[in-house]
Amino acid sequence: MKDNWLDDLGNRMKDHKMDPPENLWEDIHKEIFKEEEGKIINLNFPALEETKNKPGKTFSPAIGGKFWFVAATVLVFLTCGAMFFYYNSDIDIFNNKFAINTGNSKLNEAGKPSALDDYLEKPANNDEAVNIADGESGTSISISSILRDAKTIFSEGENVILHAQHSVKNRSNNILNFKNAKNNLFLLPNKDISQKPNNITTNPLMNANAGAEDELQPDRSNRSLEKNEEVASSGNDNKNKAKDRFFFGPNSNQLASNASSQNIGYTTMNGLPFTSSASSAAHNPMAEIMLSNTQEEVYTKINHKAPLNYSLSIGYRLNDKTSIISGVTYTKLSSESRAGLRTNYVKTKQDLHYVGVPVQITRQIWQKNNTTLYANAGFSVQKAIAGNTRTDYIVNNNSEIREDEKIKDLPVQLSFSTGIGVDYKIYKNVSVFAEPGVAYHVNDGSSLNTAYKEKPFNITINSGIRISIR
Amino acid sequence: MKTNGISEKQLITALSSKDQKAWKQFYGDLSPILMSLAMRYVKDYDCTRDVLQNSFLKMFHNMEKFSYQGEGSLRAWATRIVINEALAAIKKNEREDFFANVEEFPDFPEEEISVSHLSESDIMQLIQSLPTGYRTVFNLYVIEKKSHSEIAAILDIEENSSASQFHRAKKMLAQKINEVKLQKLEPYER
Repeated sequence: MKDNWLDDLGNRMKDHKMDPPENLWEDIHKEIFKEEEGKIINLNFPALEETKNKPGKTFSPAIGGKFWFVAATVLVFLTCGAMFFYYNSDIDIFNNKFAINTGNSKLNEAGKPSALDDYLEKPANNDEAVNIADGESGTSISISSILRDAKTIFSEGENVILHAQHSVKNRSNNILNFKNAKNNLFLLPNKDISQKPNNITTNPLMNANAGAEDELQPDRSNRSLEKNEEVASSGNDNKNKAKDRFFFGPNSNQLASNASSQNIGYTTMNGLPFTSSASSAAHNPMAEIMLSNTQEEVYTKINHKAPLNYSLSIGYRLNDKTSIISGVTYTKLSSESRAGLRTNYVKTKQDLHYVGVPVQITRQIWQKNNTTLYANAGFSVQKAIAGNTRTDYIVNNNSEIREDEKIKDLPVQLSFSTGIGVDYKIYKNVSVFAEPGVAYHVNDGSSLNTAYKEKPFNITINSGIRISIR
Repeated sequence: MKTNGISEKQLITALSSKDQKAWKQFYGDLSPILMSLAMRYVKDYDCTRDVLQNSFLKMFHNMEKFSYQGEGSLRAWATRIVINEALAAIKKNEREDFFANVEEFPDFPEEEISVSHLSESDIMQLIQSLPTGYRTVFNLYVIEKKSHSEIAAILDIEENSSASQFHRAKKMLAQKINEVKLQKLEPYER
């Protein structure tokens, strides 16, 4: 055959042997059996170009009894936080109704009776000042600012009734005295407003307690405020290794409670009187609602749900004990209000969506094994990016008219927070954390009423996951 | 492969359970053959070392999947793994040279060609001197005894390309063998 030589060649070379490279077995042995000893899973197959250094990722899970111990600790922590919630330090929210005999019914630029102008300006002397005196401590609180924010809720002829809301810290049930030198401004007892309008027609002097002093009854609404706790802040580490400078992860911040308030009469979510023109040719539901409810006191109940918050954080370790964290955060504020009684009422639902940037500094206090205790402080700037309200006018349990409206003036919310945190490492570079703390939300200056406006001070619990890289 | 009284089947069981002694023996038995095999394809010594190391690691991690199919099946399995690693290395390093060299060689009457005067290391050198593409096809066809259609599938080339590559490889090798023969017959020229 022609290709004899090829067969010959093939047969000979097939079983040809050559000495393998020196130390090849040692290298192979090291690779395969060292791995087995460490019981590490080699996730990557070595590529051909990498000879000595294998790139495989390794991890060793370490969840054991310690994890449950720390989880129990965190749970105790959260329980303590919840207990603070129930310890009330009341802040009284006063809903004050003032009656004023305007003499004439002219309105000033602000839409308020011009007779009020005297009270809105700072008085030249104390005799003309309208003050509220704290019965116990004797301090005076000027109500000029209160009146400035008062809303007109009823006016007929010369008489105007204003509704104003404010909060005063009052740890007791002391009645505050209302002094009025001019004698044309009267504080009405709260229950008066539910009476039919023509009871207050001619002269508020007749209905209100005659005399210069009226008693101001605090209106204890359902709101309560947690005690502001001084958080002991000392240094705190986030991680042991100086190597991992960056970390990131998702987290969620929950307020410990929701907030609610109550106004007398019919008001919107923001405390404004209803100026709705919701009516069809057939009927005016607002009028129907009001007529149906004239026999009893009417209240507007406002309930703010606990804000829903989700964030993605990125952190940077400045040194062993200190880190700075920022990121992006989303918050949804939902509120509901109900003005009226059982079957005839106005129901409003308000949703606000915020997106913002938080900034926080943390400092390690104590650290042992996988557990780290730290303190933090920071602030957050959030901008409302969308908001809408839905108003239902319910007459005889039927929704007569529904109004949907987009909120136009979207405010910016600034808040400050501080607290302590516990961080527990569950994998090589992954940890879970919980941070109970307090937050204060600065009044955003808008007319919108939100959980943050009702209760600027809150207890919060921020929890999430941290993953360290680089 | 019966060595030290242990049958091939028993060896495979020991290898699957990652027995260190078994693996050392396995390496000792097969590495010389696999070394020669890899050198035929890759030719570069350092590259061959890498190919062998990767091959043994692959075998280690995949031993559980191997099922014994008669005598010699373990060696055949190891051979396939090494060839795959070698081809991957070639593909990575020498893609440009694969189809070089379209010289024409004179046709030697093939009855005249014989390799009996050549040592195996001579033959190894001759094979390694072939351009990469020729060499690969030659190895797969002549020594691994693959068909051209199988080679076409392995190398991702056309079947007739495999045939023509082989043909040219054969001619080139024949000429080189002849040259060596002439050299050996004329000692005074060395």
